[in-house]
Amino acid sequence: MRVSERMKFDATESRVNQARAFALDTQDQAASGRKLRSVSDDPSGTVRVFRNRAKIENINQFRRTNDYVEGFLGKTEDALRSITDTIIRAKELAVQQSNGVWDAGSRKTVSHEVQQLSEQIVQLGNSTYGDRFIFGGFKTAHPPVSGDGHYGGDDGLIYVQLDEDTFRPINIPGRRIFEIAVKDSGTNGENVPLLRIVQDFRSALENNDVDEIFRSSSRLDGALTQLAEMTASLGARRASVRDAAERLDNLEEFVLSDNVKIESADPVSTALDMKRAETALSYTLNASSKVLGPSLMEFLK
Amino acid sequence: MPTGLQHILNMGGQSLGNSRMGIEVTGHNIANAQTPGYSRQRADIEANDPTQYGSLILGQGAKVSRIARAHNEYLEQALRRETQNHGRAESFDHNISRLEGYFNPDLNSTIRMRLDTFGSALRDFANMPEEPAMRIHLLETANTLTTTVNVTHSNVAQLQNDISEELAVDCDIVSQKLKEVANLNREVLALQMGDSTRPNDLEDRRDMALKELSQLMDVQMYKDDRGLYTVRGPGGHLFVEGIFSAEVRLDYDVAKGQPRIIASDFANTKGADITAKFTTGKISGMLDVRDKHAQKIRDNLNEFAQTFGQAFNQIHEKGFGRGGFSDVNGREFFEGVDGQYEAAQQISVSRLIQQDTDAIAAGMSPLTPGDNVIVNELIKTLNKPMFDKGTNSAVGFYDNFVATLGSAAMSAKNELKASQVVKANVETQKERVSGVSLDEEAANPSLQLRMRCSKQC
Repeated sequence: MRVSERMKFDATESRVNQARAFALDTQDQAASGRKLRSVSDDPSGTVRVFRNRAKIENINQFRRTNDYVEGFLGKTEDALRSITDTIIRAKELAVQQSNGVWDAGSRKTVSHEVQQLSEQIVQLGNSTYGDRFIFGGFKTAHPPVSGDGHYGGDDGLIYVQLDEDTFRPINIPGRRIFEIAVKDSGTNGENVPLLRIVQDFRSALENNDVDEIFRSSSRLDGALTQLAEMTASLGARRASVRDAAERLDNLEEFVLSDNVKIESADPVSTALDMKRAETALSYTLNASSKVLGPSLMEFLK
Repeated sequence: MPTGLQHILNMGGQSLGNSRMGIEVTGHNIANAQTPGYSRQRADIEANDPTQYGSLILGQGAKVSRIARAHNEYLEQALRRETQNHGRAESFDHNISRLEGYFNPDLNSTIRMRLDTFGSALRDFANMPEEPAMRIHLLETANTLTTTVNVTHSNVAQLQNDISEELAVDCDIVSQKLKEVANLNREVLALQMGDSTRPNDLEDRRDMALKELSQLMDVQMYKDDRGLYTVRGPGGHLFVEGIFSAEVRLDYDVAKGQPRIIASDFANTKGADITAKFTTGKISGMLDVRDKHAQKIRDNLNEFAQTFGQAFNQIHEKGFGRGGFSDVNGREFFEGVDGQYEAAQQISVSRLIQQDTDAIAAGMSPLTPGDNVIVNELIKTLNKPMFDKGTNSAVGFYDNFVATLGSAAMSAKNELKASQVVKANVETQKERVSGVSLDEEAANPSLQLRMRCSKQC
């Protein structure tokens, strides 16, 4: 085979370039700690990294939402429990005072306590979390329960996103708490404000009207049933929020490790590659200095 | 009597002349050992016609019959072809890497990242629609998102402009090279007048000019019986014939789209649009990125901004805001997405919302500050299939076109590597035939003969 001058130089040039390019690439990988540096390094991996990153961003977001929802539901549960306690106390008093041993005087005294209870109900009904009235439905900016017990909120359910595909309502619109379906003859099938039941009870005590006290007692029972239903549904919601939080932890672990697999350079193999690149380069340079050496010209004198 | 002293001296003199010629050719070779495109030359020596002396036939010494260049037309063609492929692969890889760079996974300022942040702000807003701070946060992230879309669009458009500018320069180079080939044709013609010797060095230079042309674009050529090259460019357009050459230039005067490449005819200066005819060489690699890949990305960005913006607006328009906007609806969130202009260039958050974040709609019903039904619907638009005939979401669409670009860039890298290897191979083959070896020149018989002749005579 003929070997021309240019062949020697071209071959040397291309070999040295090759060795240098490899060295540069491994150096870059080692310095950045990344093997995924452009989309073309791994197009489908890149898309997975994009998706995982979005998931991580969302997970942080869902955690914040979770914390907020926990607080909101906790506050709702506290208020609901206190309202239930109030009604239980009223029910106790109703059972006690319907008994014939009590006279008008003692009933009058008890009516003061019932008055206290009804004020408490208004207060609890207007509980807030942050600046939001929790029982107002979508009308979160104004107190939903008025002094006379009428519910002024709406039926809006505030849904929030707990994870990628779960939207759950976090609030209980006050209508289900402060308007009680009553099954006796005193109404035309309309709901009665919770507060009115308590206030009717108080009037009955003041008027020493035992029949009315009996009726109040049964209406308070109805209210308790409704409150128990609400408490149960609230409990279920808190459980699903906790579930979602747990799922987020598992997902995060998986997503993070998946991204590390795709994006990060393995330090051991990078170090070995660098050593390899260094050796290759020094051998190439060494060999080139010999190949480019003297020609026959110099020996023909 | 031919065998006199005179005759012997004549033969010796001619022989000395021959070997001097050989040494001159050797010197020429050595001087050009590193000249790109140079083909090794050699002095072909042949015996003079003998004369008859009585019944004997007597030799008459030797003469240099011609100086030939070591040249293989087949290899020359193969080299031109591989130079074209490599030129194309190189410019395609270079430009698509630039395009790809705007979507790199280690950038934090990509549309994809901004979209995630925007989604996050939407969810915060859904949790607390009453809170003015959430509205401001949402506006800020929306502004960042639209700016990023604008910037990405302008990056891609700028890349197209940069390529056009480089094309203009390359068109000038092509015109010059074509003129050079025509001039070399003229010189070859002049040197051949009345003489059949082949002007080796001129042919080398012409081959070199053609190789440089091949690096830029499609070139076909054939030699006519006078040894002149006729050159045809992309689409068979006549570029050089005899001593005439065409001119190639970039025409910016287009109503829509990218500047076109125009090749003039020899007589007619109006010329023909050959932009779509390039299939190989550096220029075709550049055109491919400019008119196919970058344009595709640009179209995709516009579709992304327009479809997503419109879907988002459609829901937003149903909703009610806060304060002065708590009982009026029908406002759009994004502006510039009506498709009249390029949406990715135009998209921005509406002026009304910029002035007053209360105009952002959160609720389905009027006068309900805690209502987040509309925000929840807006969150769902992020994952709602609305692209590719309702099969792909906004993020999916984005991921797809970035991955498609990445795959193109990946195969460009591989093609470049392959074309480098193939081109280097053919170059080596050509060098084997045409290259100068100092060892070989040193061992040249003329050199040795010269030494001996001078001793004898």
